[in-house]
Amino acid sequence: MKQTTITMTTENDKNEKSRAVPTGQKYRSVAHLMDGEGVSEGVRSAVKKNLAQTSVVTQLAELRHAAGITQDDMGKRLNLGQSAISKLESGLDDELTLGQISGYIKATGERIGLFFGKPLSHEQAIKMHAFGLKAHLEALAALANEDEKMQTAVNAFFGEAFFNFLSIFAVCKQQLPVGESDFELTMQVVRDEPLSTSTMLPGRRQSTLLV
Amino acid sequence: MWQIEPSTQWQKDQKWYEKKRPNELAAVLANLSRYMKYLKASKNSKCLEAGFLHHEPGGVVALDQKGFAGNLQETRLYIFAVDVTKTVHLITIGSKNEQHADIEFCKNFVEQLRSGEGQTP
Repeated sequence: MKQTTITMTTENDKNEKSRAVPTGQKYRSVAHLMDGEGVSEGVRSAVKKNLAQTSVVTQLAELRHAAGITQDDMGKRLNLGQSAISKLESGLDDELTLGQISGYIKATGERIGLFFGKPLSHEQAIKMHAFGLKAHLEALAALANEDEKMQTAVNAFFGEAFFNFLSIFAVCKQQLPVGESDFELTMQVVRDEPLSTSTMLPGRRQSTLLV
Repeated sequence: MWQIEPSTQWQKDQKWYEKKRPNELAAVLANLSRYMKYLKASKNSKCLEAGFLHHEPGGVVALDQKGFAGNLQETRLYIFAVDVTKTVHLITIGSKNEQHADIEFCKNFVEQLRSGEGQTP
């Protein structure tokens, strides 16, 4: 009698799962993991593309988690079922409606900005925010002119905000590669008390900023 | 800050999926990225809810391939989040057919981890 041997290829043939242990290699993000574990460019670009198509949906789900709202609760607030919320959060940004976004924002008590169009470069984004800051600072200055109490409060706020801006610049500047630099940020705090000088970054050119 | 730590088995699976099912690998990695964001936002790692996320016995979580365009095979990335060390352990990747065996495999991994046996080589 003729015998036929049938070889079945199963999923398990890909590798026998034996005892696994943690590798000890830790990554701070999926992007970092993919770099470190040698994931191919094709897979990395597919992940990136998918995340770009679901960026708003993911952020809405993040807001819901941060507010401690379940999908069921969110469904009730939006007059939808839990499964509709699950589907919405698993969908693409293009499928979202403004009403749904608005519903999430009302439920979580957050405020968001939506931008459409070509992404801004970092430089353009910084300029855009700087113009926004200028408009708000001017509005505060106008308020300060109306009332003496407000003037004191706005003055204090300007001083604090100015110090914070400088600190942010100083911290970011420190992340630049070490080397010759034409730029230096030095801050001098002037008060009624004896002068104290704090040099935030070493360098050649000096500019004194009065707070 | 939460961190991701692959297991020796995950590294083998990743290589296999890279060659044989790259789209499925990309899909579960995209969902892992979302999971990490939800984890960061949430106060309780055990309360996360998403369409691609399945809570399995022993605290193991399976992330599937949903939300990714194309006709993909059912795939599960099994993970375990440890709140104390803020570490997400990537245990293994498998198909729907292997689900039962994979969950058992993951439960053993978690038990080893809890007993302190599953230490870094």
